[in-house]
Amino acid sequence: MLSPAARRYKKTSLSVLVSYFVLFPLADYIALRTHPAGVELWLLAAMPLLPIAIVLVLLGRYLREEKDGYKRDLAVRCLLWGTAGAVMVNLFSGFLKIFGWKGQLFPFTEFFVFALMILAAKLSYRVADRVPADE
Amino acid sequence: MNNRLKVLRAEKGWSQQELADKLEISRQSINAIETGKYDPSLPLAFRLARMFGKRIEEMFEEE
Repeated sequence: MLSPAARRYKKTSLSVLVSYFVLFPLADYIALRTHPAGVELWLLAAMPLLPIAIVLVLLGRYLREEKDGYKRDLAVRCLLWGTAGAVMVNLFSGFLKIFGWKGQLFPFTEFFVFALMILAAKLSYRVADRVPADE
Repeated sequence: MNNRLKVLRAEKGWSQQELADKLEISRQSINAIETGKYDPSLPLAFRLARMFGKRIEEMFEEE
């Protein structure tokens, strides 16, 4: 059973996460068609960040509003796992480029890293939240 | 921290879900406290103690 805070987070975050999967391909399409440079390129690159920022704000609100301390701790731990994974992959990809590698880990690495971060956090939460049958 | 929650709950004949509903928290929280995976916050410890008519130190003790 979800707490009121968890219900609110689930309801609002779903549409924001869906918008991420729309905004990124849209920004990629615009970039391919218009070949932007300078400020336009920066703005285009920032476009898919908007849903990520909103999800992080919603997560912060959930953590503030969740009254169940155990659930709050669990959410923080799982988010930390997800964030650690995302940071590691992004840093590894960045270091490869700094050290002169011209290739790509896999297409749209940065796009999938955020999706994987959310997925990893949700999966680890589900696993950790399982309890034996009631007595 | 050790606690006597499972024993006290059994004496009352309450399931984990029933106790969780009374405290307006999740059954997972009750299970985590009983198994020693999670130490409740001070306000929750007070509410638990009140629920069983005990003092906090009668329910919880340091390891």
